[in-house]
Amino acid sequence: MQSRNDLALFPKNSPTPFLLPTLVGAAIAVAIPVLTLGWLSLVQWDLISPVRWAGLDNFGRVLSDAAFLQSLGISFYISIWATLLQLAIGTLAGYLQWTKASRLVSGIYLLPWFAAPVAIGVIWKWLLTPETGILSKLLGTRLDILTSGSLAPLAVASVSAWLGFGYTAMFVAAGLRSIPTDTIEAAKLDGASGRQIFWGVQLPQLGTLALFLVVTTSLQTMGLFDIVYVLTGGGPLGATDTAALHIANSALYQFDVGGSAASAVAFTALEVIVFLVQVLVYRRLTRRYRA
Amino acid sequence: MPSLPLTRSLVQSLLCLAILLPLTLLVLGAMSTEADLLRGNLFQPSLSTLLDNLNAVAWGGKQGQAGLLAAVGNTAIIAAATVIFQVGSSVLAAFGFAFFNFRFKRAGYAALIFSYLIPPVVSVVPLFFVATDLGLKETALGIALPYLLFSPYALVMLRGRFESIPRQLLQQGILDGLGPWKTLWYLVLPLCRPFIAIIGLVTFISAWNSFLWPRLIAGSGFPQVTVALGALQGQYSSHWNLVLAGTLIALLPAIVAFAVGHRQLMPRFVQESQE
Repeated sequence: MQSRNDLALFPKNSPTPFLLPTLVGAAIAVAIPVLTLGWLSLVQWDLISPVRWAGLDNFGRVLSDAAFLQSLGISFYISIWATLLQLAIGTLAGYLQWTKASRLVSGIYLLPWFAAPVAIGVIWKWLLTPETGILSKLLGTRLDILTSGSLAPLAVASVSAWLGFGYTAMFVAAGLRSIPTDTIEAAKLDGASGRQIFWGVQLPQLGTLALFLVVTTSLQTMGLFDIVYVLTGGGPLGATDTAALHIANSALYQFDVGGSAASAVAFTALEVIVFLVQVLVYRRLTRRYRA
Repeated sequence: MPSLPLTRSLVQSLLCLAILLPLTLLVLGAMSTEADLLRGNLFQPSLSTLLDNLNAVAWGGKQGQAGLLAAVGNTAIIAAATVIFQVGSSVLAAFGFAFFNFRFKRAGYAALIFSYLIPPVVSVVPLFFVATDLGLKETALGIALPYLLFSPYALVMLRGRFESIPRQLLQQGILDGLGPWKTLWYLVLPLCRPFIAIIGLVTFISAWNSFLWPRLIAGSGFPQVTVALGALQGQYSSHWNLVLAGTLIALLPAIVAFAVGHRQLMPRFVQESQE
């Protein structure tokens, strides 16, 4: 990707007009909110009284706030389950699509991914809610999933995986198809079983794709908002109060703008750390494969 | 990994069932009356009940909340504008990154892509205060503007696709006297038309589906479908027949995408984006 790039096709022309719209867009979508966030994290503001400089007080406050730290833990917990489920089911589905592809099947897998997460949340709420939920009615027994502090986070993670596994499957199937068949044939000649070939030959060759899928899926599920907002609203008793919900609520409903901004900075830092750890682990693993 | 054909079909059928069963229940529920749903009777669906339910959510309610029909129009306008500007801007930038050399190219590209690491909620809250300050609350411009010109996803996908075009082809065009704009217009765009169409489709759907930002900024001034659906669910928590009819409306683009997309678009898209 980089190497052939070094030869510019248009050495005499300026790239500025091509880049300008995206740079303006990035300034609006990224630079302005990030700078505003940095400033808000250093002040005290309740949306009414004048803004007061607070220095690093907000950070000290939120980092010792049990509710915020718990919301980070909840996001982390939901994200791990959602990512594991989505990648496991998605890889299985993608593998089956690779051995014999059906466009109808992959289309069906992708249906929830095209749907609005809010709509998905509504559907599952109607299915799972204990009082008026349709599964409770059909089964003739009260389903206490969304009202259980231990099951509700897993329900959120499952719905997220339900929504996303078709996307994973699509990439896994395409990735498997892009592996040269001669390595697989060679392994077959050596008498390897289908299972051995998958774990020993195909999976290692999916390296970059696997990293891409792990990173994007875990980032996306760490920041989960829409599904949780509709499905549980953070309940029961804060059991699914993810960091995203906590940050939005503390700014807009508890009017603690500085605290919310400091929480947002801490949350982003956590995401960057998770990302870096994933890249490091990936490097370590691929080095072992090469050796 | 299962290798027997029977196991494979069985697992695939189960996965398809896991997707289709909840969606089938949704359609049945939207075709049922409230009384039937309260009794857990899903099995007397009727088209006229569906029309009644749709009719009840399509027009604005008594308490002044927006009807879903108006929201559909508004959301389609925002999504269409987002497609035109986001894809246009990303095509230009992808072309710039693919075929030009300039200072800070790698660092600039990395900065653009790594902005993906910032969780949406983190940028949405400060944007809300800025937009409110500028008087953009409850306006179409306020909903569309923040994400109008920037899409890291489209940028990465398009750059990858552009770089897979055989260099000789483009160099031939340059020898024939094409400048960068004409190369983009007469060579690159025609070659990548199906790919760009899919990027457009995905962009439309993600704009239609977005919720967090519109929920803060749209209000009742310029209602959006997902926001209206969220409000509907909060308001009519026991009138599930109406909520489900509203959900069907919110799923319209997904259904269209499934109808046109699963046959050729997506497989080809993944194939081309891998190259």
